Amino acid sequence: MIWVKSALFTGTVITVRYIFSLINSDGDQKIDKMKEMIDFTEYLRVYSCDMKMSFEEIYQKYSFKSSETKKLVKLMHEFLKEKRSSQELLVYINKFMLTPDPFNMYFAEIIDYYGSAYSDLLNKKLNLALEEMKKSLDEYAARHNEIKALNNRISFLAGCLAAIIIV
Amino acid sequence: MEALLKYFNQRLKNVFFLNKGLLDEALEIRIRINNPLLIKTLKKDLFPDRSTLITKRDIDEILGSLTKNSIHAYEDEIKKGYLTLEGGHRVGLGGDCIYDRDILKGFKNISSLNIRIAREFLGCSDKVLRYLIGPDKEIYNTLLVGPPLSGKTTLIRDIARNMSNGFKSPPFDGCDVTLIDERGEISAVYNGIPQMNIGIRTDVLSFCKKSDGFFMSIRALSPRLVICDELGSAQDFEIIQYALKSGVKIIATAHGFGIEDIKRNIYLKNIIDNNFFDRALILGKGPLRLKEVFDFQSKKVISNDMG
Repeated sequence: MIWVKSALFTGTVITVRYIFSLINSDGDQKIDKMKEMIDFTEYLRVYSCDMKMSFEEIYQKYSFKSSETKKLVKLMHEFLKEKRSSQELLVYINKFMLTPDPFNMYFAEIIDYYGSAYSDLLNKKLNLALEEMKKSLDEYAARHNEIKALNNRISFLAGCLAAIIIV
Repeated sequence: MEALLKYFNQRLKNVFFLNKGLLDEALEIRIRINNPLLIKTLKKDLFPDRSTLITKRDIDEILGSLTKNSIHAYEDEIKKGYLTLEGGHRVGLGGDCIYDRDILKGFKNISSLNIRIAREFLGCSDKVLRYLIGPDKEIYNTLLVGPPLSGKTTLIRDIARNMSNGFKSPPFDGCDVTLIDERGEISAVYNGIPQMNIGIRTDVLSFCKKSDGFFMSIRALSPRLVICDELGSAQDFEIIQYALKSGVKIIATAHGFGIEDIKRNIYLKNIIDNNFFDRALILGKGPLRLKEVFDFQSKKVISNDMG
């Protein structure tokens, strides 16, 4: 009987901790997406301003880590072609990237000036967007790390509590 | 020509769809803000739809597709006032210019586009070849002189092809040719690939300054003939002198209505007065119409359009 109770106790603690780790991983994934969007923006800046490549060529050249970012950049290209506004793109980014709104706003705004700015101005604007995106990422990452640390502590206690109740 | 349609937005595409065959005759398509679309043909100017006026949005959309929505990627060309399209067509730009310390940086508001349709007239130089080759198969240093739209570039392109491939009348086996295509117009280079037939022995230096092109080609490509567009700048005297000293022959173009007209350009006057060229082919108004052939050595017109 003691073996069953021990197994049940351990299992409950592990399950609760796993649920909390799932909650944490959602934030980690968001951070990874944000990092990739920053990497792409940096790539876009260098290949547009220094190598004078078009958005289409850059999209084909860049090796995307996640399919969501690839989809987003493809969508961005469509928006550029159709001369649609950044506000419309922002709605899409918020919907399927789920990254923080201020961060998304700087990324979406790229389409407002990308097609029509000469390289020196584009360089400045993309640098500014990158700075703001990095700032936004740092803020989000700091908040997320705090929550993650708290969750880790709570998860063990909550796991033990749930196990005691069950056992 | 249908390939050009991909650059137009739906509103203007509709104008072409309603007027089938319009593009086949067109020499130029002129798109000007607040004005109807104008098609220039050999015979006359056509306004296919006077009620459809070009808007700023139309021009922005066309410009977007011409530059693949990446104007920065074309800014070096835009600084020169034109864009080159696949097929060698050229788009001239009009609008508000932006300067940075006296240097043209580009355009702020583009308000007009002039699409010049590149056409290849293979064999258009066949009739002039006899004026370019001497009795001992020596190539004459030749200047092609003509006003705008007289077909200088088309003619010099076909001369490059013929000189490179060789021809039967008068018999000429062909030679190595370097084409210094300063504006990418003669070979109509798009993404590094000449869009026109310029011959099997032709090396192209596209978007290359004449001064650099002459020195590079003579040192490294060892051509017998160098072909270039539009003489008339300060450095041309020196580079032509260098080329002639190196034993290379030159065929070049110049803007003008005749010998006296081009002599108004001080740099060309120096070149002509020093007898750097053996002959001049003078083109008349209208496409590819040879008005006269002038021989600088005898200082005589050796042929004119009266025969």
